[in-house]
Amino acid sequence: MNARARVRHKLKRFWGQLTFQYGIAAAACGWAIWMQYQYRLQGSLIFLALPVIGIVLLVLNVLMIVNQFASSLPQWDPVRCLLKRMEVSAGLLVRLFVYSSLLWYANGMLDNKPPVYRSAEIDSEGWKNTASLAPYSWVTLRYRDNPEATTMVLITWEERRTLWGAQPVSVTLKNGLLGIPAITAIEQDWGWFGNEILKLAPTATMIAQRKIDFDLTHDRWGEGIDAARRYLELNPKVWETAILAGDLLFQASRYHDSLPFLEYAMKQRPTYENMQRYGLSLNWASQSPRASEVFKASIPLDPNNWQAYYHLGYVYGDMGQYEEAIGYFEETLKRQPSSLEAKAMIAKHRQDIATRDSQTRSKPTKVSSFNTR
Amino acid sequence: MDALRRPSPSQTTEHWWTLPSREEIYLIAIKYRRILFGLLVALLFVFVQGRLNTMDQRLFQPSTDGVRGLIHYERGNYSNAALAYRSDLRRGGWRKWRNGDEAYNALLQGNLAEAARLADLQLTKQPDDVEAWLTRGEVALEDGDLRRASDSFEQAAALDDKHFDALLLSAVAHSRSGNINQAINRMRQALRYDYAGQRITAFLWGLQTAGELRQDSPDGLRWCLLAHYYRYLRIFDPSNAPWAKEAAMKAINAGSRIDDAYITLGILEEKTGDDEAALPYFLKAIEANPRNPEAYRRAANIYRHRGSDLLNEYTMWKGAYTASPSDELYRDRFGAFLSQRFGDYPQALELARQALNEEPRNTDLLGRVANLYQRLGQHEEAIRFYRDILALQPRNPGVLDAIGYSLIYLERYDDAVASYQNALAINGNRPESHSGLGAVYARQRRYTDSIREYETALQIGSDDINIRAFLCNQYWATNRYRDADTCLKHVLRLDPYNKSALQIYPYVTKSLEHGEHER
Repeated sequence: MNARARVRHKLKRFWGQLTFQYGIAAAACGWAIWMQYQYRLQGSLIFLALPVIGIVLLVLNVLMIVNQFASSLPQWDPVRCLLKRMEVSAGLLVRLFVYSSLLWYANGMLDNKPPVYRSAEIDSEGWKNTASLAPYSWVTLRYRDNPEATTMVLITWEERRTLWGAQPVSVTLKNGLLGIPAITAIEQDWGWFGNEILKLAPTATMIAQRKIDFDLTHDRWGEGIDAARRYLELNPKVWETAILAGDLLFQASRYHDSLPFLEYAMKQRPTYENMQRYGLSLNWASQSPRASEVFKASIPLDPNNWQAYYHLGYVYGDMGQYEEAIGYFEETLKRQPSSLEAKAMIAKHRQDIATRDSQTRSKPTKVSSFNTR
Repeated sequence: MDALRRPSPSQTTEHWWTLPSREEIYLIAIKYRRILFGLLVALLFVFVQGRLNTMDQRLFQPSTDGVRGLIHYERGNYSNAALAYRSDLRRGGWRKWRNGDEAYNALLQGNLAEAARLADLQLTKQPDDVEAWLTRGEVALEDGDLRRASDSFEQAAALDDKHFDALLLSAVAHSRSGNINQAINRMRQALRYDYAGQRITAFLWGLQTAGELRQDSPDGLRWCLLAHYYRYLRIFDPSNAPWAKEAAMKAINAGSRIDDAYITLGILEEKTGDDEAALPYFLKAIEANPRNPEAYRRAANIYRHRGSDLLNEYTMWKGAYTASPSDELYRDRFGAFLSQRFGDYPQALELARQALNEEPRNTDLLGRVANLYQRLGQHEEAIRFYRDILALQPRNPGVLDAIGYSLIYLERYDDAVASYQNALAINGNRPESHSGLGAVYARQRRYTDSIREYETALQIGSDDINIRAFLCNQYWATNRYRDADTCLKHVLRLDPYNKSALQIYPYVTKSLEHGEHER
């Protein structure tokens, strides 16, 4: 047998030794680790168990490779005896790890409520000392609303790249179906960082926008609105920041809060797009008459554009003026003939008119009822 | 008998939690001693191979002198190593390093008189020839004329203050004449750039000077200088790092230029990839000397590697600039940080304008100022500065494109078209000018022209995905839904999150569906 054939034979034999049982166990461990990272538990006890689990996984891998050589060893061989003992221990711990991970994953995933954001400070970083021993990292957090206690949390590789310890962070939490809180993200607290930087460089546009974006996507409405106002006072020409704040508030259904920003941007730069934004927000903030004025004012800026007509269709529909609404949707169709939505709205409003008319006919007026009496 | 003595499997069966005893481990070691020995040999081989792989090729010369040089080098006798390598150069090794510079080739061969004559000749013809100044300086160094050598190197460094060999050789001349502080300054200046020179002779002078400094029982200041030389030599052989560390520690203990010694320690950590271990050294350097701009710059770089530690990075860049406001390197880096990472255009503009006051005809600075005005939305001002560049470089199509860009913002579409067309008259193959024209035509609702220009920009080699997205928009605007669909699919394949494409794609799909339905 030449060398190549011998190597091929060895590899074939090695492959044959990778049993279904080992394969399933390794895959289940990988899956369990993934689940642990999706909904991370906080606390200290889990961190005592995790290094053991890591070592067990490592041992399992070694076993898979070494076991093929061990099968040709006699029963009394010390290596074979050792491998046997390790295999049994590994099997038990793997089961425990996989089942518990599945339970915690279900706890996080089945909770449909929106996440909660908590401000915290990283007290210490656990990746430096353990990186060479176990393939995971953690941080010790101190929540701002409970500064007395600390808690340990796993961090992902992505987070490890962007966090460096001893810094303010925002923690995204899900309360969990079983009431066990699980962490889904730890990120740099740009609300805090933005404040500190803007004290030193108040004209830093990117920082201001990043801070506003962070605050308004992490339920910090007051801070975000204040930051946007302060920035616009200092840099009145940067109307894009007003658009950013207005859009984010609109997306968060805070229509009334979005109005001053979108109005500011529209006044600074009265473009067709900015007027559509402002008009839309006015309509959602139940100020339909004012919205209709804004949309109508935008039409001469781009008469061939269908958007203003489309929005006006909805505005008049919301005000119950179905005939006008139909007229605007028809104008939309002239500019956007393929709009199925406009066609559907025209049909709907025709139905609304019919319903309204039939109700008017069937409902007796005050005068006629008085006469009847 | 043997079988009787061998324990049965039942005797060896132990509980799964029992750890292996010492006897068991010994037994395993004895039984598998050949495998263990093989592993040991393999590890040794890997170590030696790893060590040789990290050393620069210049340390391995296939000649007797080359081998002698390597042996001296490995024994730490750097001055003798340099002499042996130089001897190798003169006996034929020069062929590998020669270039088009005849004076330098003569120097490599050891023909000092000819090298000096040719360098002088070059300087008569072209007094700002840096390489000729360096050759003349090196000849003076060989002759032991330190003052003349130093003057030549200073002249070269004055002509190009980023020229690594000029700075290194200047440091060598200062080291040899005992001007240690100045030598450290030059080394610090040389080592702040990411390249290590071209001249093998400069490397050999560095090696020789390091060896001589070490032999002469150095004092605190010389330890600091030596740390810089070892830091330089580490570029060619990482095994110099521990020596650099030792020298820096001795300088710190002696209290000599502690800040520079700390910077060396930090850089050694940084080179191992451990940025976080490097940072405390840079911060200590700042503490020791708050006027050391390099310490701030190094710390700023560490903060930059963290990705988003902009607060500290800003403090450090500002510190570097404040410590040395006239230094182009720190001013430019601070300016770039302000505009690219902070979006603080007013502050960046202030810096650029200060620099422009010193060099009013610097086209790079003019371009930067104009660009910052563009970012601030002050397009009239931007155009004024771009026109200043055009006065110096009338046939610069890039500047005409930039003017066209500002004119679009000012809604002066006809002027913008003229500017882009002027740029195309200078160079008809610029995708930027064609796409700029496409943008103007789109605003003028000249969709067919716009499509033609965007298509030309893409045909002649633009790979800007946004240009393709704009083209898709124009197809959509002209009801060419099939083309728009193909175009958008292409954009979204390359950039799945392209905002413009994502925005119009549903409308295009609906329009196509509607078209099919009606057919």
